[in-house]
Amino acid sequence: MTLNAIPVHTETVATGNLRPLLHEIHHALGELAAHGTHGMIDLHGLPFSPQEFTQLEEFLGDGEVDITLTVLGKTRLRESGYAGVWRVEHFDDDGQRIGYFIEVGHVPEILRSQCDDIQEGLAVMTTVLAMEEENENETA
Amino acid sequence: MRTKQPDSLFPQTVGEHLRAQGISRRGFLKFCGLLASSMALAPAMVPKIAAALEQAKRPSVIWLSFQECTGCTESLTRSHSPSIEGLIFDAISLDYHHTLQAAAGYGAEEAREAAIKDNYGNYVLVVDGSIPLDNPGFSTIAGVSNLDMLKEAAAGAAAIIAVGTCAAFGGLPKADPNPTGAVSVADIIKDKPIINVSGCPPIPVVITGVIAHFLTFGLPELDSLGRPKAFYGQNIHDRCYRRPFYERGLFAETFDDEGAKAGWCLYKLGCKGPITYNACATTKWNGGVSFPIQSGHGCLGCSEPDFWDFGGFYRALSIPSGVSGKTVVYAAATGIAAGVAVGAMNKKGKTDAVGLHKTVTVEELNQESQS
Repeated sequence: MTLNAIPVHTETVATGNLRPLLHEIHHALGELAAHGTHGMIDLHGLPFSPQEFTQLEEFLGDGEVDITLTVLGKTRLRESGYAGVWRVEHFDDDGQRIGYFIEVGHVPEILRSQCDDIQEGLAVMTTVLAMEEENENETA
Repeated sequence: MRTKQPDSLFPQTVGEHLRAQGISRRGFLKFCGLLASSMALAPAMVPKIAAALEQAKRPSVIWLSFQECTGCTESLTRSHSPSIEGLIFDAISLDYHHTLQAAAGYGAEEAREAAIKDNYGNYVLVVDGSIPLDNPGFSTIAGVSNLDMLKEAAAGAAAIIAVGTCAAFGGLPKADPNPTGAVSVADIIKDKPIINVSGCPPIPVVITGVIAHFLTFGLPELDSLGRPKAFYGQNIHDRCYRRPFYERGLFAETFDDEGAKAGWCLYKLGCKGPITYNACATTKWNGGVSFPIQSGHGCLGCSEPDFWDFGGFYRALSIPSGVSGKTVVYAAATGIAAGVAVGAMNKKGKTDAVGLHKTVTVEELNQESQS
């Protein structure tokens, strides 16, 4: 039995936090457009009613990109209808959402290849190419 | 998933340890993002947390359990997987915890002594449970009184984390008439930094968040009761999703009336949210599923000192005895100024209730609900 199966329906309520959040997103998008500044808003600690989450979803809409990463559980990255505004949702192994961020940038940070990984990849590729050339020289 | 193996056989830093567990750098970044969120830090802090944790030495942790119910340990070990609290808990070097360790008897106590000696001045001491002062024999481990063991372990600790309301404030063992003479860690240890992580039990990610904060940025900023402000800076009421109902004067009168079914404020059913500072309303429990108020029950105030003696879990704060419930409605309807007044009433009511050690019966509860 899931929580959603429990027949409790609470009255519609507004915390009043939706409008300020939308303006914060708008401001962050303006900063990205003007200065290339990457922004992130943590929705985890904001008192929000389920209705307001629904209204936020409706306001943001859906864009072209919807990616799911498998990294410490699932992470879903969805570009909104406004280019540069992304929803980043982190889930645990049970599919429970454990983090919810709005990122404002060209791509979410977690999608970028990490600098240390790139350095390691370069070192490994250099070694592999050197070994292959060595093997080719030995056979020739 | 590609991982880099650490140079040494045993990873020495938290970053090395996490990658040795197969956690990629993307995973590490996700972990740090969630950690920042749990610590109520701005997302802009994520790169700084990642850099600090990457280099942070795995701390030796000695965990002592005194007069307690093991609920604090259960809170931590029952968290969902993979949780950030679980990942941090795995990343530390837990050198002594008599409930969790495989060793027993002399072997276990030798492990504690060795950890103290090997890491003297650098280990983190975690304590759950209060310490009885009336008679050392009330609670002993391996024949050593809680008081002596605490003093010995505290002497070499870099910092002490008092986990749970028992260790932080005396908790349930200290409840009137306090038969064992229970006191908190801070009542005994005066020369070490002590971080109180109160709650009965505390939220698991708050326990590990404090450890992570200590690893990354040192001691967190504390409130007047020695609790980290990042988690205890705001009261439950201010962050409660039911607060708009309070503002409109809409209260559940019983646990099964129309107001309760509609999710109205539980203030008149004894909710202690207005005087309770904790992260339940934002961090929530069971992997973020819910918290007591969301599940239909008022806050008990378990992260506050002497919560057991507040005067009845189902007695509304501002109507401690004989005061009409209309007082609450009036206060709520007249806005913030009245809210402050109610807060003052609450504090007085709490003090009076503690002094009188009031109790509540089911009959009283029903009467109050119907009044």
